[in-house]
Amino acid sequence: MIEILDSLLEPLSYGFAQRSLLALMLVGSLSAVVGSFMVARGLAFFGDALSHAVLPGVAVAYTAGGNLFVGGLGAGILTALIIVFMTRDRKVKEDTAIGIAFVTMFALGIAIISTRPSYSGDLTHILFGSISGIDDADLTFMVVLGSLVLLLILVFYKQLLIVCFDPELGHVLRFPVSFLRALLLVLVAVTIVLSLQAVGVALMLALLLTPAATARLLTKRMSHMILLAGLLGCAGGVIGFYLSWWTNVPPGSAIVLELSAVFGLVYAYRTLRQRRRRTGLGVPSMPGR
Amino acid sequence: MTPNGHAPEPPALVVRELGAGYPWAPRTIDQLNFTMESGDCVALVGPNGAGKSTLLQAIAGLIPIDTGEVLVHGIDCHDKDVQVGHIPQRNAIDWNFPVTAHDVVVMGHARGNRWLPWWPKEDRQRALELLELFQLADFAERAFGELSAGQQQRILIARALAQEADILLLDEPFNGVDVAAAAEITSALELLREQGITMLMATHDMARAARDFDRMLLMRGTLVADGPPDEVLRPDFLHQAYGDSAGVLPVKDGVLHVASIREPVGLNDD
Repeated sequence: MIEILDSLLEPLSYGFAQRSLLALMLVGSLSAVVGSFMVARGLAFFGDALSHAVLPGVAVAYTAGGNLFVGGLGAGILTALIIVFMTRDRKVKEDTAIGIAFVTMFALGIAIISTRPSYSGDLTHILFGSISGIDDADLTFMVVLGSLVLLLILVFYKQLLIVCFDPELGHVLRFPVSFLRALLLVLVAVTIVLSLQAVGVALMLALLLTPAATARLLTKRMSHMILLAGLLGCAGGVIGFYLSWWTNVPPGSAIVLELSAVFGLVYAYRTLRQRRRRTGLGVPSMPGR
Repeated sequence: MTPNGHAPEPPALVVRELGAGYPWAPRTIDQLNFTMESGDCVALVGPNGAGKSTLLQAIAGLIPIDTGEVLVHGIDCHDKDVQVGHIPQRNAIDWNFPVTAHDVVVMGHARGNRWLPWWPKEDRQRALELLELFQLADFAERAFGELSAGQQQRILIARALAQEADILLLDEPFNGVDVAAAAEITSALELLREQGITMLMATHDMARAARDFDRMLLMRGTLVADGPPDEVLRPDFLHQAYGDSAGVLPVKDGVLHVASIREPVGLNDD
């Protein structure tokens, strides 16, 4: 027992490990909460697009020595605007526009990074994160901005819920529907950029989608889904951290594998339960037996 | 027009010289005029592409109005004080969204307390009462998407009541529902009528409209006829709206039977 406790506490004696654990817990829960709206609304592809589209902004900031967060957020918002512009008269379908915009932005990002001599190392950092490089200032920034995202979701919860479920009801209730849609996309972009250093561009989508999709299998109510997804995401951060510590696998990859395993288990449980229910209904008991 | 001091209550709905359409498509309706008094229940019929959905969306303030005006109780329909209950077509709703029946109804109350992250107790209670009114209290905690089509439509109607809407617009509530669901929706509409709700319902089912409504609007881009069903469903009006595809309308035992009205194909607005 004491050995287990020791192995759990041992990493926490290092400052960088404490920061990593806190960052992963924060990023895990924040992404899951924001991702719940994307899963409920069927915007998974958009999340994927946005997480890749931040690359050129990050790359420009990285190359020019600017703020990565500002660069990434700028590119994310620009991509969202391009998609909205391309689909405004319905000549191009939304998923096509998303596909074109995000691959273009991603290619642009790679082109910009490739101008640097340390091309491959830089790209690896951006694609897969570099959590051990998070310092106190980064962590403070993440906590402050992450709290702001959660606060905005709390304040706008009802309006976001209605606009995601039935935008027409939002219109007739006189909610600022376009603003709320844009707000949701900006919150997703902020979350993605905040999570970039912890898990990187390539694995970001799993943090947004997997805990929310798992929670969706277990609940039929949005508020419950958000809370459960947040808990699953936070737990994913903790478990992923230790998996990474013990096995030397990058934390991003450890979290994603853990989250996917939980999703797989819950999915199997739901499928079995459904099958059992169906069999129960489908085979009536024989009279007289 | 604003009501003068001598006028009684302004009509529940005034549609005057209305021209409207989706911003990305040619204008669907033009020069449309009609009025509804409080408590009126009116069926809106016409072929596919006649602009029925467009009209309902224009009244609900969901699409811009190009010309003319729509007044709800004397106030412009885009005014923030106007509350319109709009029940969209079935394909406009995301049935997999994680909400329960009770969640959907309580959403109707969201206007008054939009900044609270939770629903106040009195709103939850009122939503439950509305579910009871439509005999759906037992389904309050069930996932919305798992309910039958008739139950879902009744829940959306209950939501419009929660909204305390000045007028209720229904866009083909009988589309894609089976006989049992249709009967459930009919009894829900009857309940609305008893409560004095002003109601405008777009439908393709002329027989049902003729049976259940005292007044019909027949349209094709603009108004073709307006009046009691037996006056509206005349061969000349039907021909004007539907072209050659209008069928026979035998009157049997004083009851109007609408038969073999084929709809023109190729128009797909509705």
